[in-house]
Amino acid sequence: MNDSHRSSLRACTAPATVSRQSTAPSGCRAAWIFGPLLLALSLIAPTVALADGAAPGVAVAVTKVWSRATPPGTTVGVVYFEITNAGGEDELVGMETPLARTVEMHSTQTVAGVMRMRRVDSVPVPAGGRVTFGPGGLHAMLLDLTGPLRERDQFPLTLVFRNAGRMQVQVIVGNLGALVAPEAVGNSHAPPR
Amino acid sequence: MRRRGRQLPASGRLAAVAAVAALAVFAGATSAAPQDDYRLAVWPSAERTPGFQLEDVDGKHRTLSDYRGRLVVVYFGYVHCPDACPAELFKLSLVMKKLAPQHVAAQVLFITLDPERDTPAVLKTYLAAFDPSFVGLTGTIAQIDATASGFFVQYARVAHGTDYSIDHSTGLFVLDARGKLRLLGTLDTSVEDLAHDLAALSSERARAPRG
Repeated sequence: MNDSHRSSLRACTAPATVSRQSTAPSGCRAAWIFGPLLLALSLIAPTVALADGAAPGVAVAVTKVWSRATPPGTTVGVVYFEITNAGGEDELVGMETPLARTVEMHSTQTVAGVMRMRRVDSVPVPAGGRVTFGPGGLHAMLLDLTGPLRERDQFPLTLVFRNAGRMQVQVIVGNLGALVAPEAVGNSHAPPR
Repeated sequence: MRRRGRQLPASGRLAAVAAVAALAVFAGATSAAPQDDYRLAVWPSAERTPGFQLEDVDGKHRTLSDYRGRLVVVYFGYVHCPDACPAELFKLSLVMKKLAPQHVAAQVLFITLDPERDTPAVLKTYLAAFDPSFVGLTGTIAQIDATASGFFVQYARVAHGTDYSIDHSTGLFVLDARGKLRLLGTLDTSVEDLAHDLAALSSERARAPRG
């Protein structure tokens, strides 16, 4: 499903000298223009931090991490967040939390009024780009929760990036029907040092 | 337990979706009703209202006529739905709170599309977390299929390894107190618009009480 998308991103991984040639897709050119700009900003922006074991120049930040309280009767939960990537191309390849047996990545699309949810194995995080997990779009689905999630609870979630490595963030639980991050969720979740 | 494929032929599904979309557009363009300026899409008055033969969480046989005298909001979903269903049910709970002081009698009916996992006990505790007044309805697969197709609701089970999710239409169906389907809402319909239209339907009934 994402193959064409991914391959176009891969095209962006070519060294800058190559991408400046006229054959480079315009989207890539934009990435190469804004990528260094974002990287420069990252040096002064406190919200961007290097991940554990990150390769040099990789700066992925995960912010606005939140979930919804779960009603009794269900054993699934959801987590939303934003990934900002001030470094080179990366990919979110997995997630885990002690509160659930499995964490899957799902994409949701509404086509002609029908909501379709599909599992995806990975989510590309473009160089200098941003990926939003939010209601009605991508979400992390927690399967077989060990217990209900209650409003204002906090729990850890580890995101695994192909290049940036593992990054643990704290999830704040909003109300049963929250559609936006709870007030308590700031803009920054620095990974553990 | 009986397991049966629930996939309608793709062409049939698309046709039904197209029919709903066309009706909604048609209704928006030619609605004769209203003076009362409804904010949701208006169901064409010449169209029949779908019905159902289902069971509530106490095992009681239920049909639409059991809810006459109240406005009814019907939503189809399933408990293991992480994204849309809880958000929608929570929205409906806010609508109910907003309408409470206006004495608008409205009943939310949640019809499960996953009767195998959504047992009456599961449905009962799940819905109570949103609003204790919400009614959960379930039935055999054949009954659920018939109900969904009556409401032009499409659904299909999608396997994810050993687990499954259910693709489904996310429309809200608003019926008046005489049991006639009147308005169609979507996931994007706001609490304010839904409350506004329910109040408008309720006052319409007060002005023209003949049945």
